[in-house]
Amino acid sequence: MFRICKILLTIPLFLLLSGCWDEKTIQDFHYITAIGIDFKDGEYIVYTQLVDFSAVAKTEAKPTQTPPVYVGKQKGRSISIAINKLMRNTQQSLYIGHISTFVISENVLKQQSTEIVDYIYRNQLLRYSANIFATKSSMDELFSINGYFNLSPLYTTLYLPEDVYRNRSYIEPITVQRYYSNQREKASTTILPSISWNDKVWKEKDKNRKSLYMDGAFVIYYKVSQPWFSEKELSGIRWLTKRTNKTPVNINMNKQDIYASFSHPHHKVKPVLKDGKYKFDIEIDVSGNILGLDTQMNIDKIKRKFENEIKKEIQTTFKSGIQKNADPLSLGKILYIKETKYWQKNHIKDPNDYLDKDSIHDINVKVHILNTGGLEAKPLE
Amino acid sequence: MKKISSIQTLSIFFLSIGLLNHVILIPFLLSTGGRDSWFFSILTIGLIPIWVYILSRIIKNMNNQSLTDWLENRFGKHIKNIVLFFIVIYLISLVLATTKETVDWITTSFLFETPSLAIIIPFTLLCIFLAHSGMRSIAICSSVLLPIVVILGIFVATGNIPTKDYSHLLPLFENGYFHGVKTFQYSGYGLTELILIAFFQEKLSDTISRKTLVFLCLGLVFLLLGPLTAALAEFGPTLAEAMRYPAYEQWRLLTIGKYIEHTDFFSIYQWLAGAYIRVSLALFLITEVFNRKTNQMKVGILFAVGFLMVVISIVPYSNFKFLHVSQTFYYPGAFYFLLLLSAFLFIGTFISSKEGKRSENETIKK
Repeated sequence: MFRICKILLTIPLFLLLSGCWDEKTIQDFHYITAIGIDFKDGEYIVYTQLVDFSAVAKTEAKPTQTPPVYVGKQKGRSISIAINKLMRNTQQSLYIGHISTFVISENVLKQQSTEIVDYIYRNQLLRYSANIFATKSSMDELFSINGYFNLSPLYTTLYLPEDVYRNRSYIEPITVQRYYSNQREKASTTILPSISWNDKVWKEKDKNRKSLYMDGAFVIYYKVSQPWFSEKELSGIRWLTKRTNKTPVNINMNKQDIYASFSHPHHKVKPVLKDGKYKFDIEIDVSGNILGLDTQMNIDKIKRKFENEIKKEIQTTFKSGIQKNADPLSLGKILYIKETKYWQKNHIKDPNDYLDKDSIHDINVKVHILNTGGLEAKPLE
Repeated sequence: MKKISSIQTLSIFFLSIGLLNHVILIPFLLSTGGRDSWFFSILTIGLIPIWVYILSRIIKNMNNQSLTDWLENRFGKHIKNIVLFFIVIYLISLVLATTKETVDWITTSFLFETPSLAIIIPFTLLCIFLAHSGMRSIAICSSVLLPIVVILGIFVATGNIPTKDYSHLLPLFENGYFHGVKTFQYSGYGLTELILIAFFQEKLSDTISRKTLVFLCLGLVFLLLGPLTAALAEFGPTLAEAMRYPAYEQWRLLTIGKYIEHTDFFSIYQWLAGAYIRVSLALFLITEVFNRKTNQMKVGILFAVGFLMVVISIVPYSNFKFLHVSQTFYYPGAFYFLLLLSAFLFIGTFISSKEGKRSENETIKK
């Protein structure tokens, strides 16, 4: 009797625990893969990118046609309302669980509202491991760019920024999780890369090929400022980023160029009290290898020159930051952690409250040249 | 009677109290202590020696008598009944709080549209079945479930390392030195629940040594610190405080390489394994309290509590109200109750048994 009971108990478990009564097949959905958010006249404008399901997977045979990409656009007082309006007009149900990129416009950044973070974190379908970008260009255009060789947009920088970053590390791509965990911290600066496109570099037959790239970044100090900087202005932050993988530096000596690539810098920032105000000591230790050598020079002299170049980059980034009331080197975070009392006593709010143009006390850069590539440490005859 | 070993006891507690420390208490700790909560949780390690001393004294003194006999010998029938009444109330509340939390989590996190009855009825039946099978089944069951839970835990902890930024743990004491002191009532709760050992120590084949108890306590504090610091490091204090299930959110973050994500279904195994053992253990202990029970009575009690489990999970009582009630009243209340109970049992160890015949009790006289 008890045995029969046991068997009867297990049968419903198979059915119920596997949850298979409500199965949906993958082709029953429209998958939103990227979502763009703009703000205008008190309303959010939401752009969504739909990618054909069959174009998602890379197949052995290259596709011969450009895969179709649909871009949806709706307005609403909140993001949810706008997406809801989009749902009214789709032919199959919209599924947001696979969004892997968020793009927000400059207007939204200026808004500084909690709308987006609330939407993402409250919704149990969205993932924080998605990428997030800001942009200054129009979302319609961004979202209609396909991958190279007739691949879907899923194979562009919009979705795979890490691939480009690993080979050329300037501005670190950021995920939703890292962005919001940092942005919400007191005294913390977050670098939000901005994405753009041009058609000047690559050509397909005779036509110009549009391609996406990161053109700079917004330097966000929560509730205070969010100025945009070009990649060149921000070139100093790569020395204070642990994940910098390969990053190029060019120096000029005797009118000849020397080119090297550096990786994985170690940095240390120390606040020091000078005349009642905190200044910063920055120490950088970085190693790299020379990839282009046109002139015969003592390797120690080359090192000095690289060290000066790196120092200059950090100075430039710092100075362009001060002009826009921003702290791209994230000095404030370190000051706040180490000197919380001082910070609270002085009611510091803006980066300009704790930074002025002499705030960098000392930059100490140490460069190691590991090798000189496949050729010896002298130029070709 | 078949006996269980102290290693099996470890796995029972790592699952049942593990669910509490690793999952349920994390949001309370974060919202009361914020960034400072991890520091105060570390401080609980300092209380372990005292607690282990109290526990081991109680266990040694009970000396393989069941809780009911021991209480009757020390305090007499009336006090025994009052104490047992409160214990039963506590155990039932434990069952209901765990069930409610589990079902709420399931319906807000992944099975949005599945009716809760379909979730709760199989769960209740399984728990009743395990509780009915006895302590040894619970012990074996948890020894089977625990290893995979541990492996998955290590997987999520290490897989998320690239997303962690431990600088979020600092600075401490932004809001004054005593801002996080209240977190003690949550971080201590997991440890005080170890008093449940006293309820079934007569079923242990070997006396549980002080070393094992220290290991158990340290393990539980470690289980608390893991997801607590990880939640702070991954989401920052502001967002971590606002999250309803900070431990579960860490699973949603986990990606492996470029193409594998959405690994959070593993957490279902972890949570349900913990809830299963926790509820079954409590159900079993409820039936143990009643002396001179027939099998029918036992089944009756189990199904009565099971009915309450079903009721509490289908009553439309909002998750956020439940969160508020459990954070401000239930868990602190349960913590103080267990403290009182432990103090009471500890006092009991100084009272000589009314029978006064057993030689082992003679050594402990005030």
